[in-house]
Formats: sequence, structure tokens, C-alpha cells
Amino acid sequence: MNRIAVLGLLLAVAAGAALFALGVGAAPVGLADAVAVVFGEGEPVQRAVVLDIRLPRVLLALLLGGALAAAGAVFQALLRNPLADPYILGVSSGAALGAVVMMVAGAGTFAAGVEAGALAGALVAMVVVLRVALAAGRTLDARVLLLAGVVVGAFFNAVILLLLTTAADAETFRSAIFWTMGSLARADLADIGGLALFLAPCLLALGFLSRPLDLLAAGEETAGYLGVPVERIKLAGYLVASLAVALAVSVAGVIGFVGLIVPHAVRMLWSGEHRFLLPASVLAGGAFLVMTDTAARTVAAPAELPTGVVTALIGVPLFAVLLARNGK
Amino acid sequence: MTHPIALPEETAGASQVPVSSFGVLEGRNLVFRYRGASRDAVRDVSLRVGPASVCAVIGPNGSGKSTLVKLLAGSLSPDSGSAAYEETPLGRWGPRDLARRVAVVPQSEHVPFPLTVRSLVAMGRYPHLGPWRRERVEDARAIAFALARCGLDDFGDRTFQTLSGGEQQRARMARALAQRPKVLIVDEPTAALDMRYEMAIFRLLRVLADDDLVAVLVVTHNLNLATRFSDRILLLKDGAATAEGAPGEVVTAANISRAYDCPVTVAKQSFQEGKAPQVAPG
Repeated sequence: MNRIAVLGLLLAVAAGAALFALGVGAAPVGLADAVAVVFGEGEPVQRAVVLDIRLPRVLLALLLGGALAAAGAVFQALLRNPLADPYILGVSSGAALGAVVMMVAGAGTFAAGVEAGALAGALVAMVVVLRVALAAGRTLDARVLLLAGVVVGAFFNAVILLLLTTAADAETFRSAIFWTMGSLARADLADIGGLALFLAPCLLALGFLSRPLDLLAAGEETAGYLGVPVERIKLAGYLVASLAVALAVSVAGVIGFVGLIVPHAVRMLWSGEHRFLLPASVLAGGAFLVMTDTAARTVAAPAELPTGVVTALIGVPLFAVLLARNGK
Repeated sequence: MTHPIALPEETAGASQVPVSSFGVLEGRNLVFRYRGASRDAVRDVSLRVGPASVCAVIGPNGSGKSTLVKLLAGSLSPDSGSAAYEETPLGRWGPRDLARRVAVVPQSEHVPFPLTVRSLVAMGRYPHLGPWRRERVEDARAIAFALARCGLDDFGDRTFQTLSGGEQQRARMARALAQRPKVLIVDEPTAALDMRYEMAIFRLLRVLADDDLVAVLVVTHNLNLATRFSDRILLLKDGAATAEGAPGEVVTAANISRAYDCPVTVAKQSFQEGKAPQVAPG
């Protein structure tokens, strides 16, 4: 299939998923009502449910799913490792540590304080991992970077456990565990606007890296001979993708598997050229997270499952099928 | 198809003017030592590769061939001495400017994600396009030309990873050709290839030099093909040049036996291309 057609299809799927998500939930507001509200009609109660409760969450899922999938694709290319995901370089551990510190200090589960702590923690992790990786040599070696990310992440996780076992009460403990599983529950339009304002330039910048990323897939030595400023591209890609992940994690906690699975699925189904892979991952990741988040808040309603758990429960079997099919 | 080549104007008193540096890649007194190594990997080696010629670098394992290639390709900087293209040191060329002139096919590469042959070859257009520009007609033409030169017309849509070793090597050569380089550096292009592909690769190098006026530098272990297809040969041992010159002067029983620590006999054999020595161990 033509690539433009595939992108169009993915856009339609994302829009369809969003519309469907607006029409299901705990309140008795159905798909028809949601459509009416989207077109500016509907009763005030329905409008409130769709626009104030469901819409922010759907928009957040689109945004975060897209950002995580794009960041995952970029990390897989930069580290030349199919196992890479947006959290592999320790950004999520840093965010979790920041969040836990704030929780232990007395902020509630998804309060603004936790969000700020998580963002700060993520940024600190980014800088620390980069420093550690660069301490080993002048250039960013993918293997050293990977190792630095894993090691720094492990250290942060140890500090988290230390904090939780020594300083946290049962409630904080529960909040911390819940946070690490990720949730889109605390979405409001103002937040999302702010997030979009920062994420959009990140995604755009990653888009501009697509062709160099294609060349890096053939190896850094080859890419260098083809005229790619390898070190600059790696640094830019690492920083921008990490920043996107830091923003995403600070808002929603650690939502796993989207960033690992979606880029692989796009590669397997269509193409791995980044000019296509990145936008396709953004659309597919957004659609996937909207669907899984909708499942998270509806299957056990009125109780809500952590979104990060549902992405794994749905995403992993889907991916296994794709792997098996692709192996033939 | 050949490159339009503008020859430098003849100046009066040409004998006093140094030889033209047009399209010339030159290393002068190159020295390089890896961090922590006890001896230089390359010791005072000078080498000049000019248009329409094939220069082969031979020598036993560990003699510094690949290091020399990296110095001449600009991916390593010499500890002393200089490597320059058209008299401008490689470090002073921008990465894309250099890649439009000097193409390198490294010894090996691992492409972890599936890729079509055409996409791989299209990478050679990067230095002409940069990160943003879309492929133009001339890019498509350069890609088609490169595929054709390497006998890959029907392989464009195949996945690179499903090709045989010989086909993969040709695809990587095609990518270098798509750069439309003036200098082509190839590091052991025939390692792990059977006789037929070895021959095909060397014939291709010769065609590139003769028809497209490319300056070819090839590192190889195949002494027979090196002597048969190249104009000049540099023999390396322990990082130093032990002989340099026409194949017949360099590939002698004495030189080769000494460099490789292995007794050889060298026989004169006649080929279509002319007379070239034939090396056999023992």
C-alpha cells in the first residue's frame, strides 16, 4: 500500500478510536450523543461528560501514545537495538524517583507537585546518564549509553525502594506503585494544551532527523562516510526524544509497551524508513493508547485499571501474533 | 556514462608546477597509534590516489591496512602527517562536502532493520540532499545508474538482508557509487566471496576507474586479483610501507615472502588485460 494511504488510514483509525472513546464510559452518554456533542449539539450534561471528562483524556492518550511511540522508534535507531524503549535510558526511573520524593514529602498521587517532581527527576536522569556515558570517551557510544542508562536507572530504582521502605506509609506506598503503572486519569485541558505546546516541537524536531536516522541504521561508520554529522545527530536525537519522554512520564507516569511495540509493528507491517516510521508511529501510538485507555476505564467500571497494565495485556499478545506472522 | 571532468588548464612552464591535485586523495607521512597500543598501527606511510587509476593496498593481517583506510577516509585523524583531498586536509572538509567527493565502503556493516536494496543505495544521495531535500530526478538517475553499474537492476525491491554475501557487497558498492564520488575507497570488498564474485568486484573497480575516471583505492587479501587489476600496489608490513609501485615491481617472491612470513613463488601469467604476476604459496 502507498505510504500516504497508510498514513491516511492510520489517521482515520486514530480519529475513529477517539470518537469511540468519547462515546463510552461510566456515565450513560453513548456514541450517538458523543457525535452530537462533537457537532455542537447535545444536552448540557452530555456536553459536560464528553467535553470535560472524556475529551481531555482522549486528547492526552493521543498525545502521549504518539510521543512515546516516536521516542521509542528514535531510541531503537540510535541505540541500534530492537529492545530499546523510551524508558531504557533511565528517564522513567528518574521521573519515578522525583515523583516518589514528592509523595513521601506529602503530595498526593497526581498532584501538581508530583508532576513537577517527576519532570525534574526525569531531566536529572537525562543529564546524569549523558554525563556517565560521556565520561567513558569523547563520543557517545551506543553500548556505553545503554549501559549508563541501565545502571543509572537501577540506582534510581534502588533509591526509590529505599525511600518507600523507610519513609513511606501504606497510602504513599500504594500511590507510588500506582504511579509507576501509569494512568491518564488526571487529565485536564489546560495541562494538555501546555503539554502539546512542548511536545509538538519535539516531534517536529525528531521528524527533521529522519533521514540521518535512516543512515545511522546502517551503522555509525557508514553514516559518517555518507556525510552525516553522527555525533551531533545522536546527541540531538537522544536529548529531544528524552525530553518528550520526560514530559510524557511526568504527566501520566510510566505507561509501558506503547513505545516498544508500536514502532516495531509499523516496521513489520509497512516500512522502517523514518520519514514514514515516525509519523506512522505517532498516529498508531496515539490510536493504540486511546483504545487501551478506553479499555482501562471501562472493562471494570466503575473501578479503573492502570493504563500501563492494559497496554501490556492487550499489546503483548497482539505483538506476539505479529512476530509469529512475520517470522514465516 | 562518465563524469564530466574539467581538466586543469595547462600553464606555461608546466614542468615546474607540481602535479595537479585535481581529484587526488593523498596521505603524507601518516602516523597513527591506537590508545594503549605499544606500537604505531601506521608508521610513516605516504600514498597518492588519482583519477582513472586503481591502487591496491596489500599486506598480512594486522599490517595496518584498515587503519590506513580510515586515515585516508577521514574517520581517524593521524597523530602526525596529513591526509588531504585536493590539497585540503580531510578535517577541513565538511562531512557532506567530503562525502560528495570521497566514498567509502567499509569492511562490514550490520543493518539491524529490514531495508530494500533501493533504499540502501538511495542513502548514497544523502550528501547531495542533506536532511530535508526530497529526492530529485537526478537523484533517481544516480541511483538507477549505480544499481545498473553493479548489476543490480532487478534487485531494487528486494530486502537487503535476504541477499547473498556477493549481492550485499555489490549493493554497498552501489550505494557508494550513488554518491557520485571522485574517489572510491573499498576495504576488503571480496572477503567471504567466492571466485566469481571476487572477479566481478575487481572488474567493476577497473570499469569505474577506466570509464568513470574514479580514483579507486582497494584493500585486499587477493594478491592475484590485485596485481591483475590495479595500476599501483602498496605493500604494508607492521604498519610501514615495504614496497610501492607497479604490480610487477611490488609483487615479487622476495617482497611477498618477507612481508607475509610465508614462502611463495611468483609466476608471470598472461591475461587479457596484460601480463601480471601470479602468486602461489610454497
